[in-house]
Amino acid sequence: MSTTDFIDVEQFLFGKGFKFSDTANSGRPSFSPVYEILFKQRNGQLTTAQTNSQIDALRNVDLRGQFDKYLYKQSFNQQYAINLRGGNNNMSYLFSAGYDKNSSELDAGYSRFNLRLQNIYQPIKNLQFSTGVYYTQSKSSSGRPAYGSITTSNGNLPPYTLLADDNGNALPVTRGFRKSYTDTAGGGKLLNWDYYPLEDYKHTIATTTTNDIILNLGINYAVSKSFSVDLKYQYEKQQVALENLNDVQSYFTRNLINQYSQLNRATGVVTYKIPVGGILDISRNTLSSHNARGQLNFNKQWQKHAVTAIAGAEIRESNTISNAYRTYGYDPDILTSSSVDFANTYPSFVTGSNSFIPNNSGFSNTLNRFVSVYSNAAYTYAQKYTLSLSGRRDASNLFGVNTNEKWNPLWSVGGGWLLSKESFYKVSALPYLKLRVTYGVSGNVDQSKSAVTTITYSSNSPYTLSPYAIISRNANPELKWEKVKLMNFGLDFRTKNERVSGSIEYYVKNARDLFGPSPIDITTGISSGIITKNVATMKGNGIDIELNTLNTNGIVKWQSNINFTWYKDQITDYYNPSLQGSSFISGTVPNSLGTVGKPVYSIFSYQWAGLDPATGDPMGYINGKVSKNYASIIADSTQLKDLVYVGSVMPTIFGSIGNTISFKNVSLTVRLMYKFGYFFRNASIDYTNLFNTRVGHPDYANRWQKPGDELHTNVPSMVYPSISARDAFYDNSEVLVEKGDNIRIQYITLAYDIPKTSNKNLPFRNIQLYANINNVGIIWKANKKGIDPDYPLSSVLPARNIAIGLKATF
Amino acid sequence: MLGSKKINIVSSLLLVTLAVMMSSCSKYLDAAPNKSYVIPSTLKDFQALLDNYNNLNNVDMSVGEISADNYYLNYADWAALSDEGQRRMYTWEKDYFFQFNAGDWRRPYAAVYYANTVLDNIDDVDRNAANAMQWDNVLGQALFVRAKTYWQLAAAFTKAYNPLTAPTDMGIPLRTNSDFNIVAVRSSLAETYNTIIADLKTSAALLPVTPVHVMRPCKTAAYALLARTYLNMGNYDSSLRYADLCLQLKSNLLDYNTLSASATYPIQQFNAEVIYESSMSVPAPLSNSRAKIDSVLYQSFASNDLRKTIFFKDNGNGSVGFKGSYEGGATLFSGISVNEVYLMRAESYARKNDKTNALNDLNTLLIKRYKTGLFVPVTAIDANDALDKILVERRKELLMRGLRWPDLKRLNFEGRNIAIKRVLNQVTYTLTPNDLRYALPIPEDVIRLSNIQQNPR
Repeated sequence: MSTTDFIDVEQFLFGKGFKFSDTANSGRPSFSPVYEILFKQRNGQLTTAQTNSQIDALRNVDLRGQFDKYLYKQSFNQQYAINLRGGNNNMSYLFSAGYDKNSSELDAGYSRFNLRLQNIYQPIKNLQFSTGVYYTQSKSSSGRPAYGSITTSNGNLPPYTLLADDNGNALPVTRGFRKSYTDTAGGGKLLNWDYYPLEDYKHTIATTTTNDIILNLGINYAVSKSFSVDLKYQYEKQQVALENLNDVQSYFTRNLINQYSQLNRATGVVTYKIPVGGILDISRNTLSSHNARGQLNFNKQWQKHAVTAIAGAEIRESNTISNAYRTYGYDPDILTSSSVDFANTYPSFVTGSNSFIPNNSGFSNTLNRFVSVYSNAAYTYAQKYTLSLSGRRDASNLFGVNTNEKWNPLWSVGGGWLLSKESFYKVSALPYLKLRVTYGVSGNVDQSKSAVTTITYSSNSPYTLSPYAIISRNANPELKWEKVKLMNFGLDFRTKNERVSGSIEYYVKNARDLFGPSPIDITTGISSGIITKNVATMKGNGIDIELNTLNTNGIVKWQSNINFTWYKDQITDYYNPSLQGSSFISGTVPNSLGTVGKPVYSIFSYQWAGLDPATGDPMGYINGKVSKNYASIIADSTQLKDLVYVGSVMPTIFGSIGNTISFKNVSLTVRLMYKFGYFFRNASIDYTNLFNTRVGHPDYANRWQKPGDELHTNVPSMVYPSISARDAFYDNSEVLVEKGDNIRIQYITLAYDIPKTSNKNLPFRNIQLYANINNVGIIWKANKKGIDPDYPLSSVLPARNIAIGLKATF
Repeated sequence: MLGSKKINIVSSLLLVTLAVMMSSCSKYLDAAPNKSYVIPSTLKDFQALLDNYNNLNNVDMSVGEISADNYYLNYADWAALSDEGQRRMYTWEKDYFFQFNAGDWRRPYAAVYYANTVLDNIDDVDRNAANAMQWDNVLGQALFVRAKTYWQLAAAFTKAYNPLTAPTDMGIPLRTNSDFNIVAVRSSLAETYNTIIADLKTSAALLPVTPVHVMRPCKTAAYALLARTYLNMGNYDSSLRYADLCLQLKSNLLDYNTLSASATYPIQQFNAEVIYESSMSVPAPLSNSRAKIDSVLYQSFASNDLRKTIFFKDNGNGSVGFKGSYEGGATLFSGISVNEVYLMRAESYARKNDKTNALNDLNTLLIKRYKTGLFVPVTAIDANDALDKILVERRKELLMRGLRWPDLKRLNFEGRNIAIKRVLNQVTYTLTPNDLRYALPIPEDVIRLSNIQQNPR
């Protein structure tokens, strides 16, 4: 939405007395600069001419452009790595080290250093020990504020906000309170209350430091030629330290100190309940995990028979202990801090309401355990016929579930036929052809399943000084396992000289007792209004094709890699008791699990009856009759059957096409991605959000303004007071659903290789120079509104990355 | 084959290892994934649920107060309300007050669910000599919380209590246990009130006189809430009895002469009058930057009446806002305090024709509200006159606490004929006495999901 349109809306709202009550609000919420100018005019401090010229000066300001100019920069990533390998017959090693240093487009830093050392030692013929040590240290730090990340007490920053003056000096922007209040409230006794977006991030620095060490040990003992035992153990310890320092010059800290300042108006003495100094939040998480696995391997071939089998068990535990605390009055230079009173409430300087000083201490201790037993076996006869069986059972320490219910079973059976090995096979153009078929069954336990109601302890109540708890999970004993059956047919092939190779898979999936959110009457006490239930059965089928082709193999070598997926599923039975339309649009189960015969993830919309030619009001239907009773349409009078089914939310055809063309030492790779057969809901103007939180939309310019406009626009007229149900109806109506089909270039890579053969004196075997562009962009889309369907709601698209690199092999 | 012996030894060793692993598995997998997770089974766990002040004390319903006549909004402020339901509520429309999953229905029933979770499980804890006091206290608190919540729901969503029609009038859905698979049904109004009274009587017998903190219910609070419930039902004998029992345990009144009227919020939270603490989160229409106190009500405060400056702030434009909450802030108090109990006892005395005791209670309260030495005790020609004066003072003392809406129903039911009005942009909206709309519409999504009956319009 343009700045000038936004200003017009603000002038309109001012004329309606919108939010004037905030002038009497003890929270002193801020107003926008245009409102402040208009208040001055209203109080006689500005003439109409002055007012207009001040406001018009703002009409050309572009906040987005200022973010680009002052806060966004080119991101820069550096990556270095070295690998060394060596050894002899009974000992080998691998050593590698790497260092990354990145800075994002918002100057957020990330650095990583890692070391890896792996050894394999074979003391006697049948025994092999392997050890590995991995060490990683990484550090990330916060950068500058992103566009849209700064909000005020009245919503987003207005689009005409100025971040800097003409000379580039940082300007304060109104954020929490009115400037006229913050400038005078303390009579000069309080800390400065201004917020400077271009300065503040320098005083709010969050860092995350991670130290991670992984040790592993493996023993492989070959009992005989065909039978071996593997034992593996891995230990990991990871320490993550998060530090968030808001120094005394940061807005966050100044604001908090001011709010808890007690000013004696008579003496002019300020008592600081929060000391003047930085605020440091620290949290430390320590993860330790153990992972042990024992496996038997069997591998034997005799005459025309071949058997491979494994059986094993795995046990895993990870324990994370965290603690967090806050220090007030922190001085990072001399490392001093102060204590504060957490036990008593103090009146807020602004509102006079009493509150405790935020404490921010917390502890947590989580433990995840996982046990698994598994086995696979395959028998091949004459290298042609293969029969395979596999099964596994997994369990974890789900809370509030009986042990025998914690085990997830999974098994499958399969067969393979290498047709090209048959004596009758004579197709010389296809020297390799294999057919496969697999049938598998799996079951899932919902993580939220609990046989009993469980509670979670929070912290101590400051009133009763005893711990208090919330009900975290409701007993849900009726929940059954979700069962999925999958049948898979596959075909692998290779042509002569491997000009074309690839595979084709076709699969059929049947699932019953699918988990899904189910609306429940809140009278039952379930506050979310949702419980997980077994709501549906579905069937789906799909085709995956992968093709690798060598198109030309001369001086110019052209290779293609094509992936293609077609997938279709549908609900075959639906047993959710509630079919209230709104639940399928924006309530509890949006875009999912709806009508029998429709895809599992579908977009439903309100039926659209056009704009009212007299008023520009959007119109829908109730019981087949045109209606403007929005509250009723979006609440109780629309059932699932009344909604318009538009299509699948998930692409039904998708894949990628990669082409590499090489000429001598130069190669160029372009990879396209495509998605077809799906829909997305587009955003549009929502007047309630526009008025209350300053969230605009370019569609505002296309709104209905006079009779006749309904012939070329679907954007409703602006009404005051705004009606949130009217906005919700329009936002979820069928006119805002767009086809998502698109093709984009994912990356382009240009590489140049200098092999040693070209110059025997070079100290390396091969050296490669490459340049890579990521997120190149969309090249075709079905919708005519210029929206990238992958990012329909974001105003900032992911940045295009360009990387230049050098790779040397010695 | 040489290898086969080795195979056997190794595989049997592995099998033994596996078997040992599996048998200890069940213990291994029973460890809680998070130390803060607990299956509620001890008195400490139940007390922890009942101490969840965020869910039980700080979330009282405000729909009655939004609908009542203690305040008004000007047209600009009304139109600027972002929630259309609140605009409709203000003008007493017939329906669509609530958005999906409305807090004013969700929060009270979540509180009931907390109470029911305790009530369902407490019998699994053995009550013995060592824990009897704590056991009783926990049970009493759960019953009180449920009763208090039912009382608020009934105040908003049912019509005035008429003893003749109560067995067939619609009450609120009562949830007798925490099983959410049981579909909600509306009880009769008689059942609703009988349940509230039964829960409160049991809890009064179990609760201690003095709680650890007024965030927790106590015996005094149970008596006061019984008095309030009987008052609602027009049962003034019982109202008198329980108000009296309450005041025997706690009768301290704040002397408003000790308060500073110039403070932003002059009355402290948890002050000496508070028996049980609970509060409404202030919805937009009731925010003191918008809600202007009814000017007739404001003018009815005498100039020597300290409440005129302690309760109200001058908006500077001829209107006044409310700053007299017992929360020491913008939040509105909806708990129970001694002043209300005095007024209930005074009213009950008056209705029982006991003019002397009625005026005695009224004057005991009012002397603490007037400037020292300037209070002239209220007199009356008879008990009826006393009653009228007590009702006037009740309105003045207890505004913005969620009590006016049930009072309007009760007083109109007995024929006091109070029609309330709103004026917006020269349009006048009137709610006539005993209008069906006094029972607010239940959220439409609740009706749709549960199939309970909507209040008739």
